[in-house]
Amino acid sequence: MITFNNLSVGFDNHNVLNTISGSAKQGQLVALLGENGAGKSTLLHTLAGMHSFTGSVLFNTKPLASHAKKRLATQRAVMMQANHVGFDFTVFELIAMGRYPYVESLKMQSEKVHKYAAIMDLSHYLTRRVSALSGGEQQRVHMARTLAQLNAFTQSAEPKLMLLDEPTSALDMRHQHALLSCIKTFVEQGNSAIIAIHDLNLASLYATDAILLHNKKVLQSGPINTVLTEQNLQQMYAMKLHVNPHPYNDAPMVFSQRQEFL
Amino acid sequence: MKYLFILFALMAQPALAQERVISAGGTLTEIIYALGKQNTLVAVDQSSMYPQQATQLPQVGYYRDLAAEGVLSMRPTTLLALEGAGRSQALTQIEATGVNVIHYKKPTSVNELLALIKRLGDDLNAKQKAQSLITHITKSLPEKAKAQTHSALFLLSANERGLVAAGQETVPNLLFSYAGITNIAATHSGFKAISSEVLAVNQPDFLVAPAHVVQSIGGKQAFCKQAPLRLLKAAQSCNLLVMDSLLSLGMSPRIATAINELNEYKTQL
Amino acid sequence: MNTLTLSRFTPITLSQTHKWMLLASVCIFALALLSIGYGPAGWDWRLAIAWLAPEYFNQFDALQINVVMQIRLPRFVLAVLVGLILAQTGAATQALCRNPLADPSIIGISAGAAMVAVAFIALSAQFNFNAQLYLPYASFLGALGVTSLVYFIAKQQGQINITTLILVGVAINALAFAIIGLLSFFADDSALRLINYWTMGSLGGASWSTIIQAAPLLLISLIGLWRLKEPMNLLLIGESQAQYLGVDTNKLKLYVIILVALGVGAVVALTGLIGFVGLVVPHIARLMVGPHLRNMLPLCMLIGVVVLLLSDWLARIVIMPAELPIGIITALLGAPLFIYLIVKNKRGWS
Repeated sequence: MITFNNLSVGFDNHNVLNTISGSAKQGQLVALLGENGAGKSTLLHTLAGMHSFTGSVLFNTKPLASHAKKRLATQRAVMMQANHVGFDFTVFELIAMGRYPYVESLKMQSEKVHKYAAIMDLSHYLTRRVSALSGGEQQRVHMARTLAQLNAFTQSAEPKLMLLDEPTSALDMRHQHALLSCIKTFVEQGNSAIIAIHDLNLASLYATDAILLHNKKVLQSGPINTVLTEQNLQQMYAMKLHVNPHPYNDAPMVFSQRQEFL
Repeated sequence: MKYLFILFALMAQPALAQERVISAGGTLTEIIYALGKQNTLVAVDQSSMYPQQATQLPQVGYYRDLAAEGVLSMRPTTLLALEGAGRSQALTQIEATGVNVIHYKKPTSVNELLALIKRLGDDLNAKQKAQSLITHITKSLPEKAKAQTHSALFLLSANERGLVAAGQETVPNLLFSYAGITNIAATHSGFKAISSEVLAVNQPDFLVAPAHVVQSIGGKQAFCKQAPLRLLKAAQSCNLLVMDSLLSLGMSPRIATAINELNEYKTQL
Repeated sequence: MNTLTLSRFTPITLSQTHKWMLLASVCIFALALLSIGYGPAGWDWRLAIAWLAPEYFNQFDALQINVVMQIRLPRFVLAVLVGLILAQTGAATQALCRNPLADPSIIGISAGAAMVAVAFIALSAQFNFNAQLYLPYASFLGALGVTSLVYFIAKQQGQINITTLILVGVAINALAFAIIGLLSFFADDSALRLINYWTMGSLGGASWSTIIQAAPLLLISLIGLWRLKEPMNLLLIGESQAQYLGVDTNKLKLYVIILVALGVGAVVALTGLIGFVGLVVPHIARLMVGPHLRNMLPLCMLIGVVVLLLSDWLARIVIMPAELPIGIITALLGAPLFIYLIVKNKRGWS
């Protein structure tokens, strides 16, 4: 549960985001859309607590800065696009790192790791080195770690937040869907997620809401069905795009057409 | 605790133990042999290279960095330490086990050398021999030259990295002054680098180099032909005196020989 | 699957880590007997226990027992401490810089210690005071001083930029050695020799008093870094990820730098420069049990002790009764072992 108001973020005397507002409530999977350089990553990292900002960011109704670091880590997790780890940890070890914010016995930690590995179908990979896995498998490991960090899929009163920066960009279609459906299941348990994503159709299939970033401001935000219009898309991407309903799912589909070079 | 062990050590020592001496310092070792007391020597340090027999003895490291256990393993009764011997920690440990450690100042002049010989004579129970050695040196020592007739340069090394010459407060400098030779490199102290440009303007009459250096280059001619020396007339005609390394670099009882060598060389130039 | 790293972290059976640690401990025990029993003053393993009750060991005289108690035992203790610290600070620096090729000298610590120590020695000749007595403190202050300087330069907007840290460290290294060269030029012969010996490393200065004096610094570094091993481990997957997992990375980096400087500064002050251990021992441990500090760090520290004990013993007996500088031995021992492990591991990869 996160809301931001009049948020401005700048580096070296120029603004990247200009007084924007938005939120991700419980049960919402928010797709963060915008062209390259629109500020999606910056917004995500600011909400995660990395950058300084003017305006307000409230996480679970309290200002972001007022949360204790370790406690915050059990409630919000960040998964990034490039997850290259220079050291050859095993799958078990990497997932276990997600448990750092928790005080627990090694036995308990091991049980948790096995649980989240099983959820992500990694039970047979636990002793393998992460570097020896394929791209899709590695993302599953990072997702398992993120889930472990948030103690996901357990009875919990407090809502959790996932912030993801292009988690599907390097994956094949099957893995893209697998990852997003996992996040959707997570969100449906009373949590929230904000995902910066390029693939509009993928966003449309799984996200409940969307925030469109354009020119350092929010163009429009709200339920994804209402926000994904031809007019909005034309403004954002400066090209003609068509929106048609999906033949099988209740979701808008975006079609582009052949362009002339020059 | 320490004192308990000294007591223990002293009690365990058989009465009238045979003298076992370790010498730390090349100069000291040479004098010991000159005094005829080498039969008490059980080990020497790395810098004790003269006479030849000394190198056959076990070595306990360089005198500035003695191995405490190494020294003690030779079970010495006495350790003769030249000024600068160390490390102080090791010497303390050695002394704590009951070894008699005697420190000697490094001689920087002929008089100090003679004083050292006298002291060693006293400490090693060789007063008479010491006296005769002193007399011998004083007699064979040529008169200190009154006028400076020649100029020379003592080179410790001459290679691509430049020239290292003996300046003031070195043994070669002392030898030069005795033999009436001006030291071109007297502008600095110790063994330091000197620029070949400076030498080109201020040329020495001849060069002197220690034997071990000349040998490693490949002989007299090879030494003279080295690049940094090419502007020197002395190198071009190869006016090079090769001296025994220990003789020329350390204060030794053979100092008279060293000075005479220089005198002979300069006269025949 | 690589058999060397099988079953990492599955706590059901005695893990690979524990097996390696057991092996290392056995080696340490054997080396203790070896290094305390065998040396120029006495060549018998029983010397290693005779000192406890000399009355029962009549074959050894008072001098030998004294040598064991005043020379060999302090040396043993020092070797253990130095081995632990050099290995741990090496692993910590690699975690800090997120680079397996880093070691404490890369951030200018050893250079800082060396520079101040050399200045001290050169000045002692000019102003005639006993350099050897105060050298350890001068060296330690130098390490801390230079490291602080490097740290402050590398701090940007409140964050410590690791790349800048390394670059500034490299520059300081160059500067320090230039200054050392300059000082050497003005030093007299005795100072020059002292400088030379100090840069080659030796455990010869080990005595109970020096160890007790340095013990607080050594222990702070040892315990401090050990307690930080879990958050340090998170630095390995990236600083931002570590932050998102709840680690205060700025504080962590600061603590690590200080603790590494403390440990390395104190060790360098006691033994001079001993290279190689901080760089390669963590690698060796990593090849055996992987990079996770929970496994790697304890093993790494034990291997450090093994390397130091063996090197010091060899340094003492190879040219008996003289001694070799220990830095030479650590390199000669460590490099082939390292190569062997790389080759063995390579064949294990599918």
